Amino acid sequence: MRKLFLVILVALFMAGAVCSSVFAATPGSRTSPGRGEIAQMPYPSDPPKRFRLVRYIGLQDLDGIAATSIVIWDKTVDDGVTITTTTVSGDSSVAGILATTILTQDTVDNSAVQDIGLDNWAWLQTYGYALVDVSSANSIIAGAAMGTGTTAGLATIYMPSTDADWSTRTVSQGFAGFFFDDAAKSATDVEAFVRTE
Amino acid sequence: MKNSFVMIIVVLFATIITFLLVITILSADELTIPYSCYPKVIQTKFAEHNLKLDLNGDERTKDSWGFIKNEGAQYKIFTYKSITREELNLVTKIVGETAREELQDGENDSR
Repeated sequence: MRKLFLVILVALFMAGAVCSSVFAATPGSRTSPGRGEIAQMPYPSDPPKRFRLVRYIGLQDLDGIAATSIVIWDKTVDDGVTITTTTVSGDSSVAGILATTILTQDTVDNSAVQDIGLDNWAWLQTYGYALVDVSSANSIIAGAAMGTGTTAGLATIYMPSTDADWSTRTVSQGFAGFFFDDAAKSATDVEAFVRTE
Repeated sequence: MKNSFVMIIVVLFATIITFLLVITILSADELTIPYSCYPKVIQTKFAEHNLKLDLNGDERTKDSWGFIKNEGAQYKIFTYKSITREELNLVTKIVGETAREELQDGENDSR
């Protein structure tokens, strides 16, 4: 019986050792999107992430949208592949967080098909560990729900709208995930878990 | 004494293998590309950039980078390791150029 207990103890110790290197509070591999290594072994420790190739139209004189921005689905184009920014807090059409910078459209009024292969496409992260920039509205509390803020591209704490006017309330129910850590107002590269699909 | 030594070895081996398997499974990233594709063409294009893309996850070899899954109007690429931002930018370039070429080929064929 004592031997069995010893065996279980050793097994738990080994499991703990592996876990501590994989799921450490702030492992070096927490660079999103990225990969990390466990000690000398060639195994990445990042959790799974989902990305979607999306398009941006934007105005011709703008620079595009930077990586780590929170974005929404474009409700003017209505094609399900075009994203844009919003100034609606907790926007219900939240799409995810940009993993790479996206540029504006080269030719005005091009459809998504006409834009294929051009530089106004980038990766939207819809699931998993991500880095996001936050607005100056609130400081962030670890574990708080995440949503869009009133500044384009910047995330903030999401609170479901309780507006008595249903038409206003219904467009502000966009839950996008949660924050891993506390963060100051206007912080950049805040650790979050995006969950929009 | 001999039995318990064997048991320790078995338990340790099982624990390590289980964790390595879990880690390997957890590390796969999923990329959805909203273009139709010819998987073999995509595979060739990736190979030009030293990324070995399998046509099926079961074909995985040591030097594989990921595999492709055709879903008609869109396709998915699953990486065997967590993808980097540089790789994402490279994938954007490869899939974009390939889709553009196929689009232009289609236009030429219809003329």
